[in-house]
This record gives sequence, C-alpha cells and structure tokens, in this order.
Amino acid sequence: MKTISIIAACTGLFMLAACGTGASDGNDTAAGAGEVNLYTARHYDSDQALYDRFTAETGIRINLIEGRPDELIARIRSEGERSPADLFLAADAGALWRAQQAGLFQPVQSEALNAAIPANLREPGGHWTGFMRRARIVAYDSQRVQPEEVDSYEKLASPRFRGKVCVRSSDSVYNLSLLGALIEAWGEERAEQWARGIVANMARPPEGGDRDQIRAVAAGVCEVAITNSYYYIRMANGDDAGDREITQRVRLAFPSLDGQGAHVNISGGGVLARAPNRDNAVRLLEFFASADSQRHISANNNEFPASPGVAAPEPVAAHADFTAHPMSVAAFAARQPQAQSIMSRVGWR
Amino acid sequence: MTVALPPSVDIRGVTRAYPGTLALDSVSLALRSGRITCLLGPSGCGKSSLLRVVAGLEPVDSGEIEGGGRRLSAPGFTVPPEGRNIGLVFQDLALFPHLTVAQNVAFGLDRLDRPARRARVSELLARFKLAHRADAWPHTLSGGEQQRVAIARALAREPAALLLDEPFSGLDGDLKAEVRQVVLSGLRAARAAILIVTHDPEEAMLVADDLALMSAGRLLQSGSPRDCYLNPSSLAAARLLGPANLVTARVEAGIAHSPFGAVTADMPDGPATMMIRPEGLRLAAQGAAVAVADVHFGGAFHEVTVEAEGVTAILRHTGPHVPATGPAHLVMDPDRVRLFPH
Amino acid sequence: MVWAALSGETADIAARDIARYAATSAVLALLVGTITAILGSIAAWLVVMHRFPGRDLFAWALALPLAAPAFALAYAYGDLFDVAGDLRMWMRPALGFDLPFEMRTLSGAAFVLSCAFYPYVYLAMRAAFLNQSVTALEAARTLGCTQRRAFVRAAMPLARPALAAGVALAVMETLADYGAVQFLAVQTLTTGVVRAWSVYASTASAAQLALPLLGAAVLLMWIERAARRGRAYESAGSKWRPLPVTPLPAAKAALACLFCFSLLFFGLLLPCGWLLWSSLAVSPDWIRLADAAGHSVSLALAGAVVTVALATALALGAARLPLAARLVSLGYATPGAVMAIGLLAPAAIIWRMTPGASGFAVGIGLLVYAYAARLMAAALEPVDAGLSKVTVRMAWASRTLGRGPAATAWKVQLPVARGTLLTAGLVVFIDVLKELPATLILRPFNFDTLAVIASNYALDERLPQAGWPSLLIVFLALPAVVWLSRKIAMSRPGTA
Repeated sequence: MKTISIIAACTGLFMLAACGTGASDGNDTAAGAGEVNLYTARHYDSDQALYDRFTAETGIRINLIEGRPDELIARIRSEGERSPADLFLAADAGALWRAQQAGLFQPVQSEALNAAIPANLREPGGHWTGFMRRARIVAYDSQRVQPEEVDSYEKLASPRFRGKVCVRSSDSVYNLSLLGALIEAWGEERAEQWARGIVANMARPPEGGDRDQIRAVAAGVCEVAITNSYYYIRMANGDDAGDREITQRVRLAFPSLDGQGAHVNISGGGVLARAPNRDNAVRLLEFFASADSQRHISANNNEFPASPGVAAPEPVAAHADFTAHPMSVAAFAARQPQAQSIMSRVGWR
Repeated sequence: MTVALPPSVDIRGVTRAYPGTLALDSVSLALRSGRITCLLGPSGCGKSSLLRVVAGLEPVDSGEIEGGGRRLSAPGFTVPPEGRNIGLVFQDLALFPHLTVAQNVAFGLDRLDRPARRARVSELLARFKLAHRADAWPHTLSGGEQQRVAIARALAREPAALLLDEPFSGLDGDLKAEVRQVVLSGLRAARAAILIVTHDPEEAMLVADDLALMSAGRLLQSGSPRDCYLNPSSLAAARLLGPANLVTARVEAGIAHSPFGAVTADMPDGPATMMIRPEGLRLAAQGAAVAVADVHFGGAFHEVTVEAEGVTAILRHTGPHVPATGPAHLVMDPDRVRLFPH
Repeated sequence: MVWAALSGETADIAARDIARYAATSAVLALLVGTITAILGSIAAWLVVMHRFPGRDLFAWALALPLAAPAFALAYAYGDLFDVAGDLRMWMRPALGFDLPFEMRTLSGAAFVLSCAFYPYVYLAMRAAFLNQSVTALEAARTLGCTQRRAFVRAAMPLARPALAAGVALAVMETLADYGAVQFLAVQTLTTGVVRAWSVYASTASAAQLALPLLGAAVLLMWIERAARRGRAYESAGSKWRPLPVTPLPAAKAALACLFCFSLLFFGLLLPCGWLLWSSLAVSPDWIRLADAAGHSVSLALAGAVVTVALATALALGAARLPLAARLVSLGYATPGAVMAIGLLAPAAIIWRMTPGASGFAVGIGLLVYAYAARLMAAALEPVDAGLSKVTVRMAWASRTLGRGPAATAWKVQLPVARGTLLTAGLVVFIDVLKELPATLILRPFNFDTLAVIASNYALDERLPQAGWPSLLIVFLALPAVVWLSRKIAMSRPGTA
C-alpha cells in the first residue's frame, strides 16, 4: 500500500513539475500576438540559437515541435481546423511539396523573400520557399578516380564504375529528389536507364547514411559515393580526427546535369493555411531567409546559403564555388513518387 | 418446540438451481441466536450453496430468507453480503495475507472509532486465545490459530448469524478436539445464531444444538442430534448419521423378525428393512445364534463381522478379550433398531 | 486502420518489394525468436540449476540489457563495426584481416535485436525453472536421465509455456521495432509502411501493408495467451523443496561463466561502453538533456500509473469482458510506425474537439493514452497474475465483513496484488523510457524526451551526440530492471 501511495505521490509531483514548465505554453498557444508555432523536420542544435535570436529581436516566442517530415504533415492534417501550426520547415523539397498537395499551405507574397531567394528555389505559387541549399554530389577516392571522371551524373552510371559506387537506399529522400531531377531533365525512360546503371554499379547493397558512404570510399569499399554536400564538409572540419583524415583522400566533386550544374535541394518552409499566427509565421520565414540567418546556418550546419548575394562562411566557402542547376525545386519535388517507383522497378533497395 | 424468540435467520422454501442441477430444493430452516445448528450432508449435497445463498453471495430462485425482521433474499431481490450482517467463515478461511492477525480481525470494524476498534479486537483475540499472536502474519500461524482468527474476524461485527463451512475439516486428532473446544466456547459467548456445515456425523452430533440433515439439495430431517440419531425419518437420514446394518426383516403380528433378533413393529405384515446401529448388537453368552466370521482390531474396539442365515452384520465389540471366530451369540438393543417399510 | 486498408486507392509499390519486405520481416522474426530462445533458455538453466563463479551476480545481471533501447544497441554496433569505422580501419592494416561480418545486414540486425531482447526469454525461463517441481526432475533422474538429459526431456517440456511466452514477447518487440532496423538498413514491412505513407502519401496502402503485421500480432498474442493458460497447472504441485543445484567442475564453470559474461557483454557492456567512449568526444547540452530526462521520467511514471490502473480495471472486469482484454493487448505487437499512424485517428478527434489543440495537457494526455494502448499487454500479464493470488473467497469474505465491491477491490484485491502491480508498473516505466514513435508524433510543443533527442541526432548522422541521451535512458532504466530481476529470484514458493 505504502509503495503505491509513494508512486502516486511521485507521479503527481512530476506531473505538476512538468505542467509548471509547460503551462505557459499551454495557456497562450491558441492565439496571441507574441508567438509562433513551428513544426520543423530540421533538427539541428544550431537552429536553437537562431530561434533565440528571433525571439530577442522581435519578442515573438517560438513554440517548437520537431519530428520527421511526414509525421508532422500527418499530425497537422489530423489536427484539422484547430491545428496551432503556423510554419512548417523541412530539409527536402519533396516533403514541402507533399504538404502543399495536402492543402496545408497558404500562398505568401513577401517582398523580402522574393528579393532574397532566387525564383527557382521558391514554389511558383508562393506556397513554400527554400532558404538554404544542399547539393547532392559525389565524394570520390582521389587516388583512384580523376575529377573529370565524375563531372556528370551520367558518368556515375557508366561501366567505368561497375561495382564501385556507394549510395544510400531509396529510403533517402535526397536520392528521390536527385532521381526526380533527372526525370524532369531527361524524361522517365532515360532516368530509369540511369538508375539501372547505378544499381549495376553498386559496390554493396545500399546501407547506412551519407556519412557512411563517404567513409566506405575511404575504407576502399567503393571509389565514389553519392552524398549531400554538408556531410562531407562537416566531416572535413569536425571533431573526429579519423573523419578529417578521411577527407584528405576522399574529395568532393560537383557533377553536372546536362552541363547546367549540380542538383541542388533545399531546406525551406511554408506558412500553413490555417496558421493562427500568420504574420508571425511570415516574419519567421523571412527571418530564416535573412542574410544573417543564412550565414549562421551555413557556418553551423554547412548548408549553402540560398541567396546568391550571401557569401558562404568558412568552412563552407571552400566548397561553395560551384554551378547549381537552375531547375525549379518544385519541379523535381513533384517527381518523388515517380522516382520511388523507378527505384522499386530497377531494384534500388 | 417452544419458540421464545423469533429466529435470527428464517429460510423458507428456498430453491436454487444451476444449469443441470437443483442445488437447493425448497429448503426451510430456522437459525436461532445463541444456538448452534449443524447442517450435515455428503459433499455435493447443496450445503455450501445454502451458505452462499444465506450470506447473500448468490440469489434465490424461489422462496425467501428473512433476517433481523428484514427480508434478505427473494426471487429477484438480494440484499448484498455487506448489507446483511451475516458472517461467513470459509473452508479455506480466506485470511487476508497482507494484514496481521489484529488487522484481519479489525477489517470489518471500520465504522468504530480507533479506541473502540482496538478494544473490540483485543477482546476477541483474548476470547479465542490469540492475544500473543496479534501482530503475526497469517502464514506464520498454525492451522488451529488461523481457524480461530477467521472466526474472530467474522464475529467482530457482532453478526446476527455466523455461517461456518467445514470449520474443523482441516484439523486432525487432538488438535481438532482442542480447537473445537476453544471455538465453541467463543461461539457460544457471541450469542449469534450459528450454522456449521460439516460432513462428519460425529462432529455434527457433538457440536450441534440443532441438527439438520441434507441430501441432494433437500432437507431430510431436523431436530436434536439425539432425536435424529435414534429416530431417523428415512434410511437416507439414518445412513448420514453413522454406520448402520441393513437387514431384511419379516413383520408378523406386530413383531419384526430378523436373524439377529426381533423387535415390536407398528406396521402391517410383510417384509421390511431393519436398520441396526453397530452399537445395537452385543456379543453375549446367550441370544441369537450367529457365527463370528471376521475380527479386526480397531483401537478402542474390535470390529466384528457376524453372520446368521446368510446375512452379515457388523458390530463393535469393546472389552478386554479378543472375540474368537466361530459360533457365538448376540443380543440386540431395540432402542438402536429402526424399521422402515418396503 | 482496417477501414483505411479497404478503401481503394493504393500506391505504386511493386508486389515484389512487398514480398521482399514481408520475407525480411519473417526471417528476422524467426532468427530473433530462435536465437533468443536458445540463449535465454541456456542462461536461465545454467543460473538456476548450477553453481559457478559469478552465478549470483549473473542471476540478476543477465536481465540488465532490458534497460538498453534496441535503437541504442543498433547505433553502437552499427558504428563500432562499420566497414569504415575506427575498429576496422585499424584492424585491416594492423592485423591483416577484416571481420567476416557486417552489422548493416539482416543477420547483423538479428544479432543486435537478439542482444536486446534475449532478456525476455531469460526472465520467463528463469521464473519457470525456479518454480518447477523437483519431483519431475528427480523422476527423470531415477529413470536413467543424466542432468543434461533431464533438462532436455523433463525441464524444457515443462517450461514450454514460459518459453513460448518469452519468445512471443521477443518476436513482438522485433516486429514493433522502429529505430534499430531502420538504422541498420534492413527493410522490413515497417519500411514499406513508412514508404507508402510518406513518399506516396497513401494511408490506404500503408494500412494494407500494416494488415499482415497486425495479423502476426494477433497470432503472437494468441500464442502468448495460450501459453499462459498452460502455466496454471504447472504450479499445481504443492510440495516445494530447494532445487538441486549442481556445482560445476572448473572447466565447465569457466565455460558457463564465459557464456553468461558474453551475453552481458554483448547485450550491454560493449554497446554502452562504445557509446560512452564515442560520446566522450562531444560535450552535450546538459541542460537540454536534463530537461528531456525530466520529461522522460515523468512521462514514464505517468504512463506506468495510468497503464497499470487501466490494466487492473481490465483484469478485475476481465471475467465479464474477456475479448476486451485481448483486444487492448494488440498494441504491444503493433509496429511502432503502424501504431503512430493508427494513433493519429483517435488523436484527430481529440485535437479537433479541444480548443488550443496540441496544448500541453491534451498532448500529455494523448501520449499517456498512447502508452497505455501500446503497453497494455506488458502490464496486463503481471497484473492478472497478481490479482489471481486473491481467491474468490477472500473477496467474498470481505463482502460478508461489510465492504462493498469497490471497497473490497481497494482494501483486499489491490493490496494483496501490490507486488505484481509494482512489477507491471516497472515494466511499463522501462518501456516508456525507450518508446519512440508515439512520443515523436504526439508530444506537445517544446517537449523532447531522451529517446526523441537520440533519434533526432541519429537521423542527422551525429552518433556521438546520440550516445548521451541513449546512455541516460539506460542509466534511468537500470535500477528498475535490477529491481525487477531480483524480485523473480524470490518468486520460488517457500523461499519468501
């Protein structure tokens, strides 16, 4: 009996304590000038500093839920008309496109966004916009591969790299977006040919994350790896001595799509159709797109700034000098389901 | 029978059926305060069902039960057990393992204030010679002690009636007698109406003020133990109360004849069944001629099988010498003989 | 969910892929089931019936891996044995050979999940061996069986219900796993569910993929319940004597000791040690971690109390509603991703009804409800066992002593069963600490738990940072596991 009462008492206390920290959120989430409710699929520690700065500058409090993109979309849909969500952020154009398809976004016309962000990184209707860029490119073994051997995506699928390519599974949205871009550029048939070539070239069944692909190149498992740019830059400048050593030998190449530049994905966001704090949400989105914020994110997370006028800070600057394909992000984002089907067909796990 | 007080619990024509069996078949019984009624019957005869019905753990299908001037059970109406003021002591005692002896006894006393409760508990513990075990846990007690705790617990609320299911069955030998004595004096001091269920006829007769015989859901006979034993209303009742020799007799002109002797018979001529208790037959120097077929040592007595005219009977021989097999004589005590017409 | 599955519109997932996912799930479940059955049984038999150095320590320590979330083990092993990881990078030039296995494969995942889930079988088998009747063993010995033959021919068959129950738990956990399998790049049906749901945004095909998983869950629940029914007569024997404990000679004792140590080593020491080692390089945001730990512990406590309360109510009413009790147990075997999708439907109703949806109280309430739904089976079993210690007659006795049904439950049934209620609470507590999918999708604003933080870091491929929250979970769950494990040792009748 005693034990039970002790547990009950403890639970009560903990609940009280938890309510104590949370009560202020609960009281004023419904509406109120002073806050914005952010649903984000980006979860980087450095973003917190950004939120703090936004609150310090504007007095607007940020309430935060982090999650995987599609779970957040499902949650916002389930919350329905009473959803408190104001702004949804994701680190992949596909998720933003799916949120738009679900009717979750409202179009936003913002001078600041239009001025800061190139048109191809914004959804044409203004439903969502990117504010950071990440290139899906190639890390290669500099002792075995010449840079010109990886200067186009096509070459990765050529017999030159039979059994020499490391790449993540088709679970990776970044792979889906890359293939989506190829479909947009080449048409479905040629894109499928390419995917078939990649599968034939795989050094091993897809496993692990991008970082693991880069390390596999260093370990000699393969000669080239398809990866996002920031993983490499992070490894090259991180705390891990082993990772830094790897990047001495493994270099980064920016393959070109039809000679127009490397495939670029975005981190971005959109304001929700039923946002209770719409103005604050637009303000926060504009804040993310500001030059200062882009520099902060780039410095900490190693993504590329989206604005052509914003110079990437070190260590990103060393890799920022590349041509990005001018394709609209909305175009390849819409091709993700098609890309998944192709990957299923060609046996890209 | 002179009725001084209305019965504490009056069971009238109670019937209780389970699918396929009639557990209680219009049973009527009155329990009076200060008296101990024993309900005797073979296992499965419906004794326990009667207890559960009286305690309110089961409804009645017909008939009714009254107690303390209130209606307790009727078809479609059952006062729940906690509202009846009738105590029940289960065969397995059902002591609460998480409570000490004193806490078990105090369990039903939640309406008393603390000093009153404490006083009541120590009074009961003293009465049942448990005072020294007040703080013990049930599983550390002996069987007899557990028994007394269960009864003290049930008596704590001063119930109008207390029902006990086979209270002494788990005990053996000397312990049984000793526990029985302590329990009985405790029970009598409580002045509640007591109903004890048992399948042991000796125990029933030793303990009961009133005896009720039950078989196959029906009440066969009720009355004083002596009356029931000596004047069973039927063969079934007779057998319930102890061993009996059943012998076919012939009635002629008011006399019933059997190979072991004759008794007067108040019935027409013809065959009848003669029931002779073992203690109604005694080996003697003269009397009916029989043959001793077998002798078994039984401790305080010898169990002797006798035979006459192809009929066998059993008797209990007490005395210093061992009866020899072979021809012998016996006499029959007419008080221990009953005749039942065919 | 079923409704969603039947409502037309399906995503373009190749039938071949679905078959592959299903086969992978089946093989994984089979492997984990077999490995945990063997390891758990042998460990329990060694510890209960033999004497060797360290046996008293191993007896309770072998359950400790229960404190480590499967995803933490996956992080550790995936990282430690990565082809390009420090270990292998060093081995190849230094030792001149490479390890002949890969963690990010089906067999690697089976290894990791077996390490994480063997304690379920171990605990069930240890309880069964502790409670076995000596007479059956002695009869086997007098009929010419050696000690080992007696184990195979008498003890194992008698403990079969416990084995079935333990393996069913391990397999259910395997099917329900979310983080570990994903991290190890093994594509199970869960992968298919997530893919259908996210890329194709098709709830219908996600639900269709989830149906076989739910079917498997129903089957496993049924096995587990059938096994439990068998346990009733197993303890019918009333004579309890101390079990005959065989001292092992030196060589065999060393082997037994090594066997038990390797279980503990691979289940807890190695992965946690590696996580700790790689985490030392980064200094975590302690304030955020402490905050999340507070959230984790309060959620786990609230979840434990609510789940046990509901389980108790269910168990008390189970006689009247046997089907309900079985249905609510389904959540335990439901894969995390499926559960997360399924939970959104009832959550949507609540969200749409309450002003200030996703408010703090609503969020916490939903989470606790989700835990109860997910972990009911884990709580129901011990609660059931505990309440069955209260005989019907004890309850009747209380009624005739003037207490009504409610007072009887409160004063007699619950106190008598309090030990097992506590056990059930601890099981839920440990599981909630490790819980991921429901927490991820239902939690309120600004409310991270340790598991969520660990998962987020792992998604971002920052394993050293993921190590700290994972280790904190182990740290918080350990005392509960130790207590649970030691309690079983006292379960042999007559040793109280």
